Amino acid sequence: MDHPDEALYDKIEAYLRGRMTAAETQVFENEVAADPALAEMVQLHRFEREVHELTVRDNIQDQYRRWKNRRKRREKWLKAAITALLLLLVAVAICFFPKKRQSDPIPPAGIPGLNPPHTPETPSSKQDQAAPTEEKKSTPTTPAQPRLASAENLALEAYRQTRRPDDQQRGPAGPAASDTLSLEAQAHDLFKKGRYDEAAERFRRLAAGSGQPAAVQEEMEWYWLLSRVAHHPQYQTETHQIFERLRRRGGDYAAAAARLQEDLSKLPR
Amino acid sequence: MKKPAWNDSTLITALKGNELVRAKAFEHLFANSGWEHKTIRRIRRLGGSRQDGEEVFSEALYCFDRNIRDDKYRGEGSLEAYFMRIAHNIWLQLWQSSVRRQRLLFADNPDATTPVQHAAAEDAEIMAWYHQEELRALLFNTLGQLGKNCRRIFELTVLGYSHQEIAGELGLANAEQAKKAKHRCVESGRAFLRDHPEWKQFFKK
Repeated sequence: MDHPDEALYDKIEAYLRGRMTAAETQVFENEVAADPALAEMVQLHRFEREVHELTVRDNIQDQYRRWKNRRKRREKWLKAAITALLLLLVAVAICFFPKKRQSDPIPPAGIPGLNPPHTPETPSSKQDQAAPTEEKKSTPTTPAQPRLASAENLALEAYRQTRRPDDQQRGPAGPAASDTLSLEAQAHDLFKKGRYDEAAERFRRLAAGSGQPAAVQEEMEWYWLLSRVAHHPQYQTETHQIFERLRRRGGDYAAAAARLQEDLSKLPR
Repeated sequence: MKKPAWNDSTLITALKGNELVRAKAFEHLFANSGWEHKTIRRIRRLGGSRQDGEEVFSEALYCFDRNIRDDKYRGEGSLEAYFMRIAHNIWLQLWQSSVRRQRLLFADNPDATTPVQHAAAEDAEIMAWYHQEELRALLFNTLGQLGKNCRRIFELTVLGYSHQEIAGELGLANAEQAKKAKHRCVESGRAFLRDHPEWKQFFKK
């Protein structure tokens, strides 16, 4: 065992690999049975073969590992390529579709049913209009939200620009003051809610009320006008008369009234 | 270069051939045969994971290759069916050994909630598994003692290369030199085994 015979080594190898004839195998097995040293050598050889087989096993498993890594890399690239392609498609879609939308014709302003409806009941718009700020008063020409021109929108814009925050604090002194203030507040409230006819009726009564200062009367006429303008051209005769009165007075609202009249005349019929 | 048309016969010839054709055969088995996918699918159906499936495929590939090289495949049924049978058996062995391992762990842990039955048969099973693990460790240790050159010589020997072919692969002058180199390697391996006589007990069982 210390100095293994090379011929014996090959013989054992041939036996373990099944490369002996039946007769040779029989002879060799008899020798092994008779010689414990030879039997141990065959066992050792068998054990060594298992060790040597491990090299082959390692090799196969290594090849498989390397192939799996290659596959993983390939899949990674494929995923990256698909993602890039999808992103490209999304980018193309984003670039293409807005252009198409821009080329859509814009509907002409003032056509009934196409103008955005006024929503005076929404809390935000109500809050905006009911709680005017100093900023609004000092910068009445602040560009408003772009909206399509309509008589109602013109009236609302004019209302927003001319309504003063301290309007509710002033009024005629005396016992009828609280009634007048209440009526005025009611009228403004109705206007903000879009109930223009009812608001116009109240503003008309306030404008015609005796004992009112001229400035207040003019102001009430202005709001009466705005309430009617919202339904332009339904009350064309009435609005025309108010425009005339305001112009003749030449007071604070004359210029605003002239501007409004001009804007109304530009509206498509 | 023309790709070989793979069938059972060409595959067997390639696996018994030199390293170059073997590498091509394995490349085919990995990528084009579909055996890996089928093995993983079967193992998953039997309760294993994808990782288990890959492990079984790799192990089955080696057993399959060894059986082909040792002429143990008798040509009954297709190679694919033969391979799938090997994979199935390997999975059963792995599953059984994991069950045994679980039992062994429980036996070592007195706080375990599952009661351990110390039946003699079970103990024998556990010891069989334990010895198998020990055998594997000893095999790997012995292999680790061999130099790179010796490992290569043994690998080529196992693959059925003649001394002349081994000499050609290793750049040796002739077959005689290859034979001497191989016996030097055998001697160095045996010197290690002489110091570790525990290998003998595996043949006594």
